[in-house]
Amino acid sequence: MTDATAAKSQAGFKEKRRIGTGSTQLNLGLVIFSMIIIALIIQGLFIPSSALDGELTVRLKPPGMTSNGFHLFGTDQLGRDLFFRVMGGLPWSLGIAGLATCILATIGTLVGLVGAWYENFIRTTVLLTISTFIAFPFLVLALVMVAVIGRGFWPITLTLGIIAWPVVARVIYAEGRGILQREYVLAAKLFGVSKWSILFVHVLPGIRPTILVMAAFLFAVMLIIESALSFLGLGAPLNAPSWGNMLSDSRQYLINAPWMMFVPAGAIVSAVISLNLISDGVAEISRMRARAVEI
Amino acid sequence: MTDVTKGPDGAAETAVEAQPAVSGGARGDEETVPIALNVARTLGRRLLELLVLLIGISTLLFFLLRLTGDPAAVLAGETGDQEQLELIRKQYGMDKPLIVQYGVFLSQVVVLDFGRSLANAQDALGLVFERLPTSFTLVIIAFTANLAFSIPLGAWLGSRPDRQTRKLVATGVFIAQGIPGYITGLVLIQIFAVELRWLPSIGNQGPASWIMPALTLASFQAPHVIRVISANVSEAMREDFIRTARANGAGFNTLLWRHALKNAMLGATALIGTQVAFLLSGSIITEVIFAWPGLGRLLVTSVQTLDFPVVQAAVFCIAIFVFIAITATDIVFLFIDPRLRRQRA
Amino acid sequence: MSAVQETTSSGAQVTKFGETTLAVNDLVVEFPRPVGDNFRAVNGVTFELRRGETLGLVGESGSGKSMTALSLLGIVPLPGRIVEGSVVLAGRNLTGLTEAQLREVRGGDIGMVFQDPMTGLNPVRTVGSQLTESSARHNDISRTEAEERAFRALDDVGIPSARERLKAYPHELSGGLRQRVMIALALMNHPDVIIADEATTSLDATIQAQILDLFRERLASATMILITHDLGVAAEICDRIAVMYAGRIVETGTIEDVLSSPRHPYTVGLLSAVPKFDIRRPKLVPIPGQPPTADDIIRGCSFSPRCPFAQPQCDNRPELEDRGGRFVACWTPRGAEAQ
Repeated sequence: MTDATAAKSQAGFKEKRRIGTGSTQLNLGLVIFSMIIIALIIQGLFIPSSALDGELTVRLKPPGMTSNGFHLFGTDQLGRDLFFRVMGGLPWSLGIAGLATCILATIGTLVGLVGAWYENFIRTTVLLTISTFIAFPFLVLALVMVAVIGRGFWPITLTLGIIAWPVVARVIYAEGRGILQREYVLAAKLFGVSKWSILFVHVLPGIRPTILVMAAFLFAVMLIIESALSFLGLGAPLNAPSWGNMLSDSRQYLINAPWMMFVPAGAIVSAVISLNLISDGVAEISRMRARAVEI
Repeated sequence: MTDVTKGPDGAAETAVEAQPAVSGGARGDEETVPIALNVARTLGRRLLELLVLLIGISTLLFFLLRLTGDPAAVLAGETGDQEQLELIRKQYGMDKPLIVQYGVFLSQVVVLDFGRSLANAQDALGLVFERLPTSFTLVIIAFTANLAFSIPLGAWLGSRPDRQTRKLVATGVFIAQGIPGYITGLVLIQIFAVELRWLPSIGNQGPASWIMPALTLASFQAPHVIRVISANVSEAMREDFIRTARANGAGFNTLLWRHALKNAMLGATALIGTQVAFLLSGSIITEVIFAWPGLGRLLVTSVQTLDFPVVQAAVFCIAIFVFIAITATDIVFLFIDPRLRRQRA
Repeated sequence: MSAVQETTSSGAQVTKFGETTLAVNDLVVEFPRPVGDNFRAVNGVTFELRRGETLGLVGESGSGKSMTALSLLGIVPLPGRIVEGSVVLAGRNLTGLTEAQLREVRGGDIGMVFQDPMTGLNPVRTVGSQLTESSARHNDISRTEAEERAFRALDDVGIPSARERLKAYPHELSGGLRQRVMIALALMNHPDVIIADEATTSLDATIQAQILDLFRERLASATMILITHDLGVAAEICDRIAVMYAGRIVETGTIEDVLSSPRHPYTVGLLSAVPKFDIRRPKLVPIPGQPPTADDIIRGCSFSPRCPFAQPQCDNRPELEDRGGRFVACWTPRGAEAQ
């Protein structure tokens, strides 16, 4: 290392203390996302389903006061309060996206690790499977699967989980290979440590940040795909309060009632941005930690 | 549709390494292998993958369809009675054992016989081909617009990542990445078609009507491309050869555009190759939003009406299209990147 | 200084050195620290380079030698900056020039060879194009002429089949050839001064020997600064040597003088720590302690914490003192003239 780089790396080491996690991005993302989760809990516990009923006398009203009471986000074409509708979309969207993420993260990690560990035809099969399906457009696959196994909460969740695991698998494979080639793993193998031990004790902690980063990111992707499916009429049941449905409804009324579009759009965008922040934030923290170890 | 390629260290857009389509790396003094061999190897591998994909998806569809319900009932629709169901079963050979059915199915697929559309009895594959050029146009325009905009912007952002202006713009790009493409489309319609009435928002009516759909489609991927290029460029700018060039008098612009950018681009081959795939994904929604008469819209309609022959034909074509795009990109980069050209035999 | 004719102890007549080509005075390069004062990577460096001589700048990693070289060209990496001092080349103070003027100096008046030829050349551009770019930039010539000069530069440094190599990419060349290309790049526009920053460090021993041969043959009469941490390399190539420690020059003199009778305690320690095969010695004597890091702030002589001869007066920083052609920065230098 030349004098130049030595001087630079030492001079740049920050010593300030920070509130919360070390990353502004992560903090912000967690804050926004927790607000969303709180909204979900409130929605589940406190909001009666009657809040979603429409009162036709107050259709297409902008946010504000009406004869029917105060509407924070206005009403839609059937007089339903948009605030409660958008909250109502939370369980469906977050549920599907969240569960699908758990599925794909699990499958992806397992397959990736299997590919990383074994050397023979198993690895070849794994790699071939991954590289075959990984470039295929998500939405196309999702549409087709939905056509075949139907709509509804669980079919869609399964579909999304099955479509996306190759993405995780490829990254975990690469990282797993990297770790497995380190000398301490070779040493462990020579000592006869079982493969499960090695994987759980040595490999898993190393890839944990990666899994988190990808999970947060893919959660957002699943949200987007799910609302795309609902938008196309192939997701949530037609009158259910899902964000995609709301967007689809809003198309006809862009002239009279633009807020109908902005409300679900805002919900989707905030959820996605908060997840992207979390994803980038975790990545940033693990980068900072890696650098601290070097210094 | 947001992209899902992440670098190995998990960070959203770290500098993406040049990933040669063939294994190994080139070092000086090694035996060189003619480039034709590399091309052949890549092609061979991709074709194998394509074959696996096509067989895999078709089989998946085949079995899923039969497992989740009575396909005859599905084909007959809601109005079928018992007699009709029997007719359909006989016609489609559903009374034969499953294995036989599968065999018949595969033999049909091999000769590209996808049957006829259930909606209008036209040849399924023919319908797909009809719509292909329209979608293709949209995808190409969006692809070009995306790259023409995102690459320079990404390079500019990556060249001096710590300057204030760039940080602001980078934040803007981050936020833009959080906005799904179809929302952008709707907002564009809201602003330009509804409020300002500048642009048409429906269908294929000539160049003016291409603008919003193309922009929308490009926006699906633009933030991601910008961020990857930016990361690659900033990494390239920290390389030693930049210091060498600078020590020989190169100015900032020369360093960025003549030295760093080429390196950065060559590291982004995987990204560019998969652009087409993600654009196809996005084109589905875009076509629906803008009533663009393309393949995506056909796919959605046929899924909604459970028109399976058309669905199968469409998926097939999309798969082939995607693979052609990726393979073509790989091969082009084999020619362009000097490091990939020569490989140990 | 006028031309000097020097006679070695064996009576042979050696190279004459001309007038001063490059004069560096009190050069200071600072890097901001998160807390406290700025870190001085280069802390008041003064030396002269005379025409035709090869000056070795020797020191450990972190001593500031590379940073000194970069600051001569004005390419100190951010956030570092030159805050004091002057670098006078042919009557011009380089620290006062604009960026545009400096670009002419870089590669034109001063040529620099870097350490790692593997990463120092752009992997996606041909060797020829990188040379041609530099040639075309510094001379008002046509492209064809620039290519011709590139060819000649490669040929000059002993690269066989130079014409074909112009079209080669860096990864297609061996390490030794790549370093020759780097040298060719530095020499292309016939600069007044050449700086070689650890030019042989990342090469394996046989290639290193080849490159040193090249230096001796081709660059014997060049005005050169050779930066290295390897005293052996310095001994082979350099006429004079300047020893750096913690951002300061602590001793300068001719190579024979410094190596045979070092004055500064640090130089003494360095040479004692070098194993010598021809002298029987019970054990190596390393210098105790560590060189100061960027976070350490030292009052007075920066070597004093580790110096076995430290005195109370070492709390004041010693300047380089001229002791008959030898410069030493120490209150109590070793050797015959110590007072």
